[in-house]
Amino acid sequence: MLALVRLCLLFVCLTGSAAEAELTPPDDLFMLTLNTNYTLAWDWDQSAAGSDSATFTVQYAGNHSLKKRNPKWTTVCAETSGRSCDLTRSGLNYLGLYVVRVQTNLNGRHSVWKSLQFSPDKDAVLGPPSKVRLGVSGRTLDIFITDPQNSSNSSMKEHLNKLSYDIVYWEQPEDGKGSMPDTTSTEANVVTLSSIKPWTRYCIQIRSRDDFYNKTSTFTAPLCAQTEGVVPWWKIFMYFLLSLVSCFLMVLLFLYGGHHCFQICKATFLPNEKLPSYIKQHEGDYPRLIVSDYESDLCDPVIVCPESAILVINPAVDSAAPPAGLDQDRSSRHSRQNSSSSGDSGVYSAGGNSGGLQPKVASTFTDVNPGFDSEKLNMLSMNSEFKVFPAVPDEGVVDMEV
Amino acid sequence: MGLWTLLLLLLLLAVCVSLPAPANVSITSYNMEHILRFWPDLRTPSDARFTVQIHGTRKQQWKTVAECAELTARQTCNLTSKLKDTFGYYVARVQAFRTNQTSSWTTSNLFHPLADTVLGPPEFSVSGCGNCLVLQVRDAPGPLLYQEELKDLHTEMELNVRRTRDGAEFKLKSHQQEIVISYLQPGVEYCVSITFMSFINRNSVPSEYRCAFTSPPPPQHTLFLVLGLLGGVTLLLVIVVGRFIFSRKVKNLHLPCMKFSSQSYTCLKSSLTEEDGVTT
Repeated sequence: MLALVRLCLLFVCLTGSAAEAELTPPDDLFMLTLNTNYTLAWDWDQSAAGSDSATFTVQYAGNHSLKKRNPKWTTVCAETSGRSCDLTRSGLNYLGLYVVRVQTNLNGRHSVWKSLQFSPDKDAVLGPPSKVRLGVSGRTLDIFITDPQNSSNSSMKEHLNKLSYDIVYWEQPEDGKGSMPDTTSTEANVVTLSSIKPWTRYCIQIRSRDDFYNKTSTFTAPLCAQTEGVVPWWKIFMYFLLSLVSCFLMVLLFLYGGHHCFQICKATFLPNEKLPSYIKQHEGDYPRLIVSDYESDLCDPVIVCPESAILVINPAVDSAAPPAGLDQDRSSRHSRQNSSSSGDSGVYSAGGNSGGLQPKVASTFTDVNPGFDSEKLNMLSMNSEFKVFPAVPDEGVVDMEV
Repeated sequence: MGLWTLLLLLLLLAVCVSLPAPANVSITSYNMEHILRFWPDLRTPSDARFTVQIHGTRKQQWKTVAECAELTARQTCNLTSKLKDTFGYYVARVQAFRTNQTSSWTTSNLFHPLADTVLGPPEFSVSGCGNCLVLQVRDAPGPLLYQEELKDLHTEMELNVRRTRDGAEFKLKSHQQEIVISYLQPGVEYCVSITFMSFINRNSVPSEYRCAFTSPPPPQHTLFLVLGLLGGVTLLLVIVVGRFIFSRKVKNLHLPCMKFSSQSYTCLKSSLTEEDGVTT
């Protein structure tokens, strides 16, 4: 009987404890890191709790302190409802070794602790360089690298002494396939690639690396630039000559065009030729060539004779007063009277002799003509009032009006 | 009663007339040469003498420095051979004394030989090698006693490299005596400054910048070419314009042609016939 009662009690106890099930701790503990940013993430099965939401507590302690009787745990996230906790601000030493633990809390109950050992130096992921800049100088390419930054915006080289960079570069023309990439490694922050071709487009990618724990970061996005080079001397010469000639031609064209325009304008508005004064005399009237209305004013009968006839008829021509000094228009009339023309056969008959003499319609007697000497001789003979009758059979009588 | 007052008076007298302690005591070190300096109080009489004692972390007692038992006011005490425990901490103290008087002790700052010594600038030479620079660092001088320690302190170096043309600079760390800085631009000048920088000692004097070309700079023929072309064209223009002006002047002044060839006579004759044609 007693045994039966004990058995019943045991059964009740067992079922009772089964009803109050063990609270499951979080599992899949995982440290998400980048440089000095640390985030603990975990997973917890919601189905066991039903509709109630559980909270979690996160604590950490140095590994060495676990050996003590009372290890000093520092709480980072108390009763947080999310599935992660940020330990960046907890001041963890990069070279230290820590144990981080999480516990589930639900309705006043706590689960067992689930812990994870973590050392940033060994486990934290290294980030790529924070900034990369390309510069071109002649046929070389300059690369300016800024170190990856930690959570307080200072260089990761403080924690990782021997931080180095892997640089991958290749030829990448604008339209075409890239060539095989080359790799270099350096610790410096300013790198100059000099064993590359001039006038070529190159692209680069960089990642940071630390050899102690073989940490490598991801590659940065590709950056491209075109190298330059030395311009050959004949090109410089050609450009110079071309620019010189074109400038010269342009200036010449401009000057010529301007000059031409100026000439046209001047000819149009300020002409050089002046109207004769007798045309301009009548103000208000339109200029006309013929200024008088009377015919006798305007017209003079002109008789054209052959030369020999003139010499006979008009002996009173004073050769002492050479007509060279007379006015142009007065002497023209006299000379017209005195001269002969073989062309006007209606007034006088042109003889064979007169045909030999050239008509002297020119206004002055001072024409240079070797043939005139004979005429001068004739004039002189006239002065001496000596009548000369050349043997001209066909000569006619000429009417003269003085 | 009288005896006590007399004793009291004597005591007071002793206190009033006692020597003032030195005002300041400090240990300074340069390249592991440790020197103790002290500044006596202004009221200290000129015939006072000073004594020095040091006390290390290993032996917990004050020990008088034999060579510095009787120093005058302006003297210093060389402690190079006394501070042999290079990783320990030392304290020194100085007291003024006269025939019958002594002052109280003035103690110095805590001194760590390896960490607090000031390292002088490194001696090195720079030369170019195409697209790199080669640095040769020479051994720095120091007391014979601490050659090993100095060698350790001089191992880690920080280089500050700067390009002259645009001021781009970067830092490098090295621990060798022959350093090669690669991936530099050829044909330009770089300047380098080295500082000793180890974990234990950060008090190094940075060296002066030493400059060198990575490779001989390329000759600047472009400028000469352009200048030459400009000069040539200008000369050509001058000749053409000059000839034009000159030939015009010849026509106006009826100058006879200069005898350049045997055709001078022909030249003169042709100019004369030209004149005849114009006037008639």
